Amino acid sequence: MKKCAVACMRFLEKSAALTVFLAFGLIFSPFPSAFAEAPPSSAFADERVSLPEAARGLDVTTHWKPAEGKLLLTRENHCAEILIGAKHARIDGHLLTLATPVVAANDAVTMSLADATALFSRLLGRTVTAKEISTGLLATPRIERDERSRIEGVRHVSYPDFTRLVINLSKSGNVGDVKLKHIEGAAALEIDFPKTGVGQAAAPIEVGDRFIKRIEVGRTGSGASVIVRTNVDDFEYETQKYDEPARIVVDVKPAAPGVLADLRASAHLPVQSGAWADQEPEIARGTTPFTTVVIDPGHGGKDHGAGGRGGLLEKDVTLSIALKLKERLEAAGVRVTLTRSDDSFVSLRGRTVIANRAKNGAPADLFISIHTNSHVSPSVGGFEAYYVSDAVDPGAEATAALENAVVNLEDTDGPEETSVASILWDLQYAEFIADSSALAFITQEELGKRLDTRDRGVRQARFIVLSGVAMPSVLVEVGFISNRSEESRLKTEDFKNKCAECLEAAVTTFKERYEAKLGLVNQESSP
Amino acid sequence: MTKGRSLKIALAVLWAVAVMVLAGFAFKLLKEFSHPPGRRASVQAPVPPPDMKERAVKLYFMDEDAAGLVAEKRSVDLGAGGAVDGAAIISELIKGPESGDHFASIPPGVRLLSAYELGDTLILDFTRELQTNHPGGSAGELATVYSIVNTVTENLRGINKVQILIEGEETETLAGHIDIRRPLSPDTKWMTARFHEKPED
Ligand SMILES: [Zn+2]
Repeated sequence: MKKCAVACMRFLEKSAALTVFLAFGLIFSPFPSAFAEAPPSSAFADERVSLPEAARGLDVTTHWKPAEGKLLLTRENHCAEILIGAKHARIDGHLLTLATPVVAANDAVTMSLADATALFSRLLGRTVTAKEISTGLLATPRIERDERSRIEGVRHVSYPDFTRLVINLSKSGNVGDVKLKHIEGAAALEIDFPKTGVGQAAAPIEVGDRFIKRIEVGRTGSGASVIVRTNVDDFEYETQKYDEPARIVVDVKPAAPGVLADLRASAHLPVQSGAWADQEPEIARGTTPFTTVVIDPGHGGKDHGAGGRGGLLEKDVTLSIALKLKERLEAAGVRVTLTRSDDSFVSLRGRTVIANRAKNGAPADLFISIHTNSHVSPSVGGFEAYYVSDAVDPGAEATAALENAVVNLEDTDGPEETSVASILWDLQYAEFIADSSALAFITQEELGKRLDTRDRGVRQARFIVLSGVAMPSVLVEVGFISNRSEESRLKTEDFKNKCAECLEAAVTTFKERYEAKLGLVNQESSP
Repeated sequence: MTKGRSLKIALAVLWAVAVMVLAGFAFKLLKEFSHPPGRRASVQAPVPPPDMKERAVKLYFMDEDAAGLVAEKRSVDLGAGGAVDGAAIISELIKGPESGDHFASIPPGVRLLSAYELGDTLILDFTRELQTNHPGGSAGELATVYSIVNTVTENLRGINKVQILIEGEETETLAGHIDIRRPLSPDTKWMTARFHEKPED
């Protein structure tokens, strides 16, 4: 009897332990969720795995950023950012808390097996088991490390005069011997990377713009090649290579008539040797006439913008001024596209897409975003003009972040979004900032001539809508809707007409300067 | 061993299991209550808070003219490390200015959910009120964003950037203008000239 009781007690203890274990299992569920958390204590918490090796076993690409003490793991369009010594990782921008920090020792970056399961589950979007990681490690030959550079992706940006391809590589080494050649008898350019791998097999990229039909990335015997199918047999190309991130930039355009052009197009031009530049070449704009302006009435639909104490809404004021400005500009012979022409909601990205296609599918010549300001203090008033900030971090990290954004958009949102993100990325190199600055000062001056409110000056800030448009742009805050007297002015047709008049004058002045510059360029280039 | 006895034991086992499961759920609930999912990494101080000291910090608020940011000095207990210190500083910023000439840069009703440190970036996760209660306008939005960014980066050593999240998610803007999708470095360019270089004391 006693024996039996002891046995029963043991059984009871065991089931209790099992229950506690199960209950904990519930609490510390290792399944991926929006913010998955690694099991803090479990059977495999102590076991550590080499991250790059685990990644290889799961077909995840590893990028090293030694200067930043960072490891990037990428798979398709997902990216995990791992910081050595940190207890957090970032996956597609979300944070993952780790049970133990990531450690770099003896040439290996390791993470607890428990953390690794959570990490890879999130990255791959499925439940990755500890066993799978361990098996992957065994299956992967540890010594045969692939030290070659790989083609990570190809982007394109369509400009009025040419199409730019950006071929991203996993690292900058060993790409000096890239060869470009015009495939004989075909409308195609072959870019040969003799010692380079291909990150992922990808379907041909259908470009379908004025110059390029399609881009095909493939493996060759020991390397990789990118074949660019063009619309015309006779084309020219220019190539540059850059670091951080490592990339080859190829601009393709139809050949200019002439012997020199023919020679250039048929020559086998190697990639320019020398140091990796840190800036991409200037885009040659200013060769097409100024015809099209995009007017962006701020906010709209469910987004009311700022509101006045008397009930006036920013979205109504901005639309009214935009419609008046459109009428004036059209009367003056300028083509106008509105990002919205009624009280509908248009996303900020949607606005930039409209602007970047407004001129026969290409970016317009000018972008004006109209807003009304607001401040907690009801006495603050006046008008200001903003242009896009160049305070965007110029470092590799920002570039890489934007590159990721491009990849994400390419894979999820279709070609429209791609061009925006690509253009946004290119904008980091400050192409339109000088023009935008000039435009902002012209606009502020014109507003100052006709409005009797306070001139608050020209400013520069990271406006999302301005950073996405590939053209000179300005954002005007015509007045403070939070200021009682300005709110009542903003209600009047007279004030709104004056605003439209100022903006029309600014466009005209800018257009004249643009055309003068264009004329000058043409004179200089003629012999 | 009788049938009655084994039934009793079986019942006891069942009861024990039920209690444990309930306790488990209770614990889980409690845990989620104190640290809702997605905010767990929040501001739990590492054991035990080392070297906590009252320190002078500079908080940036909106000036009366919407021309830039103005600083106020406060004493905050710091020393627990980047994320915890960052949270303490932001909590102080949320309280608003003491001077009648300055304006709160954070809309009413906003709470900080958590702070994370990742490299030189402090990630600050706010409740949705930072968006929904924002009065709008570029001037106000710039003041909100950079009162947070400039305050944090100026007071925390090793933190050079701030990423603002709304309830765990990256967001395009707070009020439709300023891009906050990526970590931001401190900026004074948007202010009128007298604030350039370094915001005034
Ligand atoms: Zn606005």
